[in-house]
Amino acid sequence: VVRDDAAFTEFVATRSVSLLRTAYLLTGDGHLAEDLLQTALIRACPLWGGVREPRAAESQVRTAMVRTLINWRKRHAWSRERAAADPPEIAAPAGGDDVDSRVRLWPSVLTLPPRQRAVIVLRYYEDLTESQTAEILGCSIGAINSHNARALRTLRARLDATADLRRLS
Amino acid sequence: VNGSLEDRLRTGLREEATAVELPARFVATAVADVQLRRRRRQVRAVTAAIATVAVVGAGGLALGTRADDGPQPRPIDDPAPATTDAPSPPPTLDPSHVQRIRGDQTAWDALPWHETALPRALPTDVGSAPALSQDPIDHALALIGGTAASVGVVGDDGRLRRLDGVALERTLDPAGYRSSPVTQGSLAPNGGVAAFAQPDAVVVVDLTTGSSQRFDVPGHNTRVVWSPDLRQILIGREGGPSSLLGLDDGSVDAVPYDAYSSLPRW
Repeated sequence: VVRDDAAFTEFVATRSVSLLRTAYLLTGDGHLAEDLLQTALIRACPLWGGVREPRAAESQVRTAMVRTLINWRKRHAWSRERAAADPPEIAAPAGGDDVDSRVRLWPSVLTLPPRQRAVIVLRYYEDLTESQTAEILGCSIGAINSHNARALRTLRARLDATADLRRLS
Repeated sequence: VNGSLEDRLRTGLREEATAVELPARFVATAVADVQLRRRRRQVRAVTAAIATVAVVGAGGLALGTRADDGPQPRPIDDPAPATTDAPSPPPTLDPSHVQRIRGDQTAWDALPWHETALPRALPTDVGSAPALSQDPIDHALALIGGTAASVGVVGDDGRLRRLDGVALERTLDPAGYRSSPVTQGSLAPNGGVAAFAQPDAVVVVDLTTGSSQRFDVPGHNTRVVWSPDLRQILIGREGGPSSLLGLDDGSVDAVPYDAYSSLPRW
């Protein structure tokens, strides 16, 4: 147990920044991100005794974070509240000819449904493959591709709408 | 075009993520919390083992008594041995009294309704509610915990206000979990005042005027409950002693027992 504790402390100390950043992208809120990571560490902890490989442990914690988040969103209506309360920032800095690159994508990513957002974060931030992403979400590669396509479609539509608005003004 | 959107996602997400720093206390809190939970699991495992031994012991006792000639008088403090009669049939529900409700609104609306002072549906969108200072109330029917530390106040007209003019943060427990400052015991029985547990403080708000007072109460305060005379507040914290706050003089007295588990939660 002592050796496990030392290994666990070492793991938390070295990997938490990276995990917390993923948690932040998944939740869009610093406090929620900490809660999410904490919960995931506790969930992955019973398995800790059997895990000697930090990489495997990290992937277990990451999986626990994504699944916990999806369950939270199922239980709490605040995901909808939040989407309504924080609409994507339409106002981008004025000036410049390259309109699109000045519009921030992040606010729009925040309004995606949890599964689509998880897929976006895992694919484009974590650079995981489709099959690794499918394993974490516990669904098929086909489902991942469909979440991914929908999310990209939504993001592109938001960008176009923003660009149109800017052209009008 | 597809490629550029994906590239922009890669860059954009990376930029957002690198701004996130690990809070200094995070590692220590996370490790302590996991250790605490592991100890609790061990205690539970030991308790389960003792319970198994106790049942086995009772069975042996029963066998022993049966082997003797005739019934033996049993000492008063000797519990009856566990019986292994045929299991009782599982409880059943009479389906004719059970109404199955699907998700649609009409089925809900058709349910019998008990009239109370509360509106049929509590408004919960604290963010878009008018400020309490602009729309005062006589007394509150309910408090609603909003996102982060925001607090909604349902007036006696059934409408929601947003508590403003008071700096509140989410409560913090020793394991590092944060929760809404609104808990079941926050609203005083008269609906006129509210108390909010805060880290190292308790904030008392007069809901009719919006004025508030902050009392220093050291500790990870997470639960409160009012005394019936509204002159004291019992404050609980997980894993620590409870205290009693006197509102007349701001005195904080230790309570000689841990009241946390019996305090209203959430």
